[in-house]
Amino acid sequence: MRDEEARLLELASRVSDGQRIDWNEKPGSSLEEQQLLDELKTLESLASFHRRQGAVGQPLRLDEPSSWAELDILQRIGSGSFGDVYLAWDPRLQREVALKLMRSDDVSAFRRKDAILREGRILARLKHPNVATVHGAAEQDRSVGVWMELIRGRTLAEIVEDQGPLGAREAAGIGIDICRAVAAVHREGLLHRDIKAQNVMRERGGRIVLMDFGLGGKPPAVDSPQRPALSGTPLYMAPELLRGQAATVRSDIYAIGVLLFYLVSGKYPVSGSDLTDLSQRHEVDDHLLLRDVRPDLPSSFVQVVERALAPRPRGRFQTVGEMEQALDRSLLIASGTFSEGPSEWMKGVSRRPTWRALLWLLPLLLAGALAWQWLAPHGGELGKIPIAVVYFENFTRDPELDWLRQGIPDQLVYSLSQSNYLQVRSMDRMLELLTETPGPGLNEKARLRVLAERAKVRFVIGGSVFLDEGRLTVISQVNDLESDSVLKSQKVSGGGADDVFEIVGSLSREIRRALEIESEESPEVKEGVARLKTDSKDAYRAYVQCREMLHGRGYQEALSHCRQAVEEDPDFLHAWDLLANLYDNLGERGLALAALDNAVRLLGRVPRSDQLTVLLRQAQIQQEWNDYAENLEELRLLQPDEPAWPFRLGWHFATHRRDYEAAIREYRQALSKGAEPRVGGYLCFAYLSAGRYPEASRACRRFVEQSPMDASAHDSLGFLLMLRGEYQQARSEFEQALALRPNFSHSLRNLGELDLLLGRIESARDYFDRYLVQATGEKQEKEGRWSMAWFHWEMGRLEAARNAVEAALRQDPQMVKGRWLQGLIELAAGDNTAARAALAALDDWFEHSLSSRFAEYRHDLAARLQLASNRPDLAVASLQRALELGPSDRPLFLIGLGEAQQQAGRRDDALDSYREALRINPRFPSAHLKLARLLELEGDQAAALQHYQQALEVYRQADPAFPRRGEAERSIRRLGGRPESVR
Amino acid sequence: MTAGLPFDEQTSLELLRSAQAGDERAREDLCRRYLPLLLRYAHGRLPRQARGLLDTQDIVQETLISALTRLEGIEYRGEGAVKSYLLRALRNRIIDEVRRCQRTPASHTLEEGPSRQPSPLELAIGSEAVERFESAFSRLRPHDQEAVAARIELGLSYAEVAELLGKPSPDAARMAVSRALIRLVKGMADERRRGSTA
Repeated sequence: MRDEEARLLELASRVSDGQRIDWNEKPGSSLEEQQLLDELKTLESLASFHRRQGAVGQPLRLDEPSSWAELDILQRIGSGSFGDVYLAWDPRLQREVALKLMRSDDVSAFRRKDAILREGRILARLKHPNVATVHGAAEQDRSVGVWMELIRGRTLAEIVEDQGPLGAREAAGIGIDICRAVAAVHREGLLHRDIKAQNVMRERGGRIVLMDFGLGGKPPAVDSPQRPALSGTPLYMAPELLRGQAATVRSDIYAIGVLLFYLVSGKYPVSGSDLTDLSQRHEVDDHLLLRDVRPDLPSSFVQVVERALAPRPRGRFQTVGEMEQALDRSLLIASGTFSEGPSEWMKGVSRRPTWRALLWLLPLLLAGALAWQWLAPHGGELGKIPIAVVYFENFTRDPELDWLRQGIPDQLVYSLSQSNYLQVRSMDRMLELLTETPGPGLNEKARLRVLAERAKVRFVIGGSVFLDEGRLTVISQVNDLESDSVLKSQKVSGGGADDVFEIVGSLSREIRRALEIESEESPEVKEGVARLKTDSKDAYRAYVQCREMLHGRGYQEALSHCRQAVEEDPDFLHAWDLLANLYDNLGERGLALAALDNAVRLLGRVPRSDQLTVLLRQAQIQQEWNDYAENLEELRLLQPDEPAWPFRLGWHFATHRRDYEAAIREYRQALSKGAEPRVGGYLCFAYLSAGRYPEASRACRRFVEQSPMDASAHDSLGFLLMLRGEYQQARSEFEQALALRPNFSHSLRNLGELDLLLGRIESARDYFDRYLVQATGEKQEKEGRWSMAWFHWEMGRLEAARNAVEAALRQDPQMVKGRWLQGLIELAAGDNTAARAALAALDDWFEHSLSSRFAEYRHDLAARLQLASNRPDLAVASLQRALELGPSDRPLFLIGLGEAQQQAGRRDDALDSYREALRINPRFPSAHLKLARLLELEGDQAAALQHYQQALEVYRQADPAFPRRGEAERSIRRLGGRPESVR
Repeated sequence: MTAGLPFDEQTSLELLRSAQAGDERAREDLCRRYLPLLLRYAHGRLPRQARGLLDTQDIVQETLISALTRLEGIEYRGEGAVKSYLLRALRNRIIDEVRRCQRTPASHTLEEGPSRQPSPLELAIGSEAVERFESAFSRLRPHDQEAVAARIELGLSYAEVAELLGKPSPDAARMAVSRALIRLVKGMADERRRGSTA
């Protein structure tokens, strides 16, 4: 009886949720129960009736069908002149679709029937991320229907109505996506015929989707009676269509032009009170000019729109691809003059695919490598300017701050020694000399001079620290001993002693820049100018500054220098390449490619190896990984001693081909050729992914030994330790990294992850907050939002997690881990359709991508969906595929595998999987919990208790609110143990 | 699925207070705010005779106005409470209306006797089912009535239902609705047995 009650309650909840119930599958066990089920079914119909009524302004008409072809019609979601659009359910494929039914009550429509069916079937073959996928087309009961992917989002028309006109940048980004979509339609030999703001949707995740093809549609004739107020389609019609001519590619282009015009202005270029009026205004060229409506927009964008809107078809772009290119280029040209300001620029629409440097290492590593090679061949100290940093006096009268006397020079030395132009004399040497330098009798300056001469330095940097109205202030001086003058003097203030790193960071950037410009005349730089093939010294100067800022991650400043460089000398190949590099780092793929086009144009001027490096970058940005590898192989042949090529090949093997053994081989080769120590960090992760833990540990430790001042070295080691359950040591490495580089993003995030793992919620949240707050650039911001989403997800806060992950996906709709998490969230929220959509998005991505980077997450999501539809056998297979890819957080995937095996009834295999996870990380609390639960089910209570206690041991500093800690405690009590005893 | 109501900056609470204080505009605003929702409901429930566009609108508007003049009777428990209160008023009015239709023949041909055309809901699930539902519903405790009406008929979100019923969480609201549904289902089954034995 109790079972019956529970079952009834469950069904009642599903009725209340509005979920579908297959009543045939659920017969009552008694007559009485069957009666109750029948009534529940009545209530289900009643509820769905009310839902249908409530869905749109008008109730469903009595003459409307409740099913069509094989689809169940759920509700009407839109109406138009052609017919109605319904939300429908496809019972065969178990998914929601949008069904468009065209009325066939007029003869002309009926004649179009065949055309609609034919086009629908062609469209069903078309697969493009920016085009709503058509599932099928059919005819029944004298009506013709096409059903397609259900897009959840808002139309561009709604967005403009709500938020007002968009900026040119956002509009251009959307325009590019629309061009791509329309180009795909054109490639199938079809025309869209009904491009308008109402027909383009922005999905919740940010994807732009073109829908609603004017299937077989024919423009209304001018003399046909129309309603007085015009809205929608006619306003998008090219003038020749209004004259009765047939639609062409160029009339679609015109419509895109109108759409862009509308997006940035909320207005239409030509409008009229009715169709006749509209035609007449077209005839007399009575149209608005975009430059009058929005004079603030960059002219490059305005020109594209106006060209698309040329009254004669010949004046327009000839293909959509051409228009897309022009839009892309308009962004590049406009970027210097844009009124929106750079920050808004970067936030707009990002279509850049996931492109994250491998795990946690410096994102600029690869990007920076190229430029440096050109200018700084390995070895030679020749031409470097020798400098020295001396003490900074503490005038604060606060003995607590005495450490700054030495601390500031330490930081400065570290930062300045990164420059390839400067040779910083070691502090030891300076201290040694200082003791030899006569003290009494000489004033400070004379003393310094003696010191400098002995150390053979030209510039000496020193200064003082004091409190200026309570604010910590540092003054620095760069003294040029050759000319006996001060090259640069500056004052930087901050809030308190904690800001000292900020202050020193800013000081050292300035000092570096000043010194490097000074070093321009050095022989090496002269050689560099010759190699770089620019005649303009200004261009060269801007180039050097750009590169310098890029290296120090001052992206915006770098951008302005780089733009200046190409303006000074448009034939400066390396500056274009660097600009491309910079845009790529900013997530601006289209701009990066446009800049590269300029570099490619100049390739004839440079040797083959330089050509290849440009082509290499192009391949990298376009994610043409096969080309990428080929270019690298050729470069390796040309420059067999260069360590950068095997290094990058290794990265390619590890990241895209997931061939870790090959990657290990390459990294080791790079290191043997004298690559920088941080390649050791990559080697460490390759070993890790290959499951070779002892070697991973050795590689990471060697990296730290060789670069004790490099934050990323400590971070890498910390990450490895975290994965192996050495939580305390991991924390200490992360903290060391942060001491070396305050706000080092990777370590902030890793500390957040660590605290989350240990259940220290508040602290985790703090780290994630800091990570997000200090995020520079779109990439980090996106990652930051993702981390927040992950945090909420782990805490079971679905809504917050969803918001955060959607924000990340808005920045990068192709972020693999973002889609994965979105799928997980939707699945947990019971929206299997949305979860499936996330999986479909991932499948789309991997279908086109030449890389299997992060593909394990795709398999994981697939597995979870398979579990949800009760196919644990398939889920097991999916997770095995994920593990074959060698994910670095292998234990996590092993747990997933164990769960699937458990559900498939393969308990022994599940036990093995959990134990394997614990072999890698003996203190992985989730694995202990899973294993304990399974052991408890198996009746081995003693072993179960032990694992619960081991989990609790890890959680002993967890916040009491952390759910898993409570779970462990309860389980221990249930098994008769004492949770307190482990503390 | 929630019914799409346009909400202005002013909350219904503020409007209600103003309306209670005699502010005519607030009363009008409230009417405008809730009219579409109630119209939809009435469209589904009223028999055809009483369902001409004007008729329905008149009935709903009258109900709204008279309900709002008796506003003192309600305490504010979220947006859902206002909707629920108005829905209760409308439901009573519709029941009256249905009875009236049953009494008054639809056409002038008296000979044909009382002939009532079905409402859309009756067409959808059958008039007997609607009868069983209404009858069982009327015997539910007020709290259960509110739960069923809010979720099943008005399509409020669980969060709104929770506010309306004074439940601590959406999950608790979901549970309350489910339990109310079970009591309703049992009542409907009783109703059917009674019908078959009668």
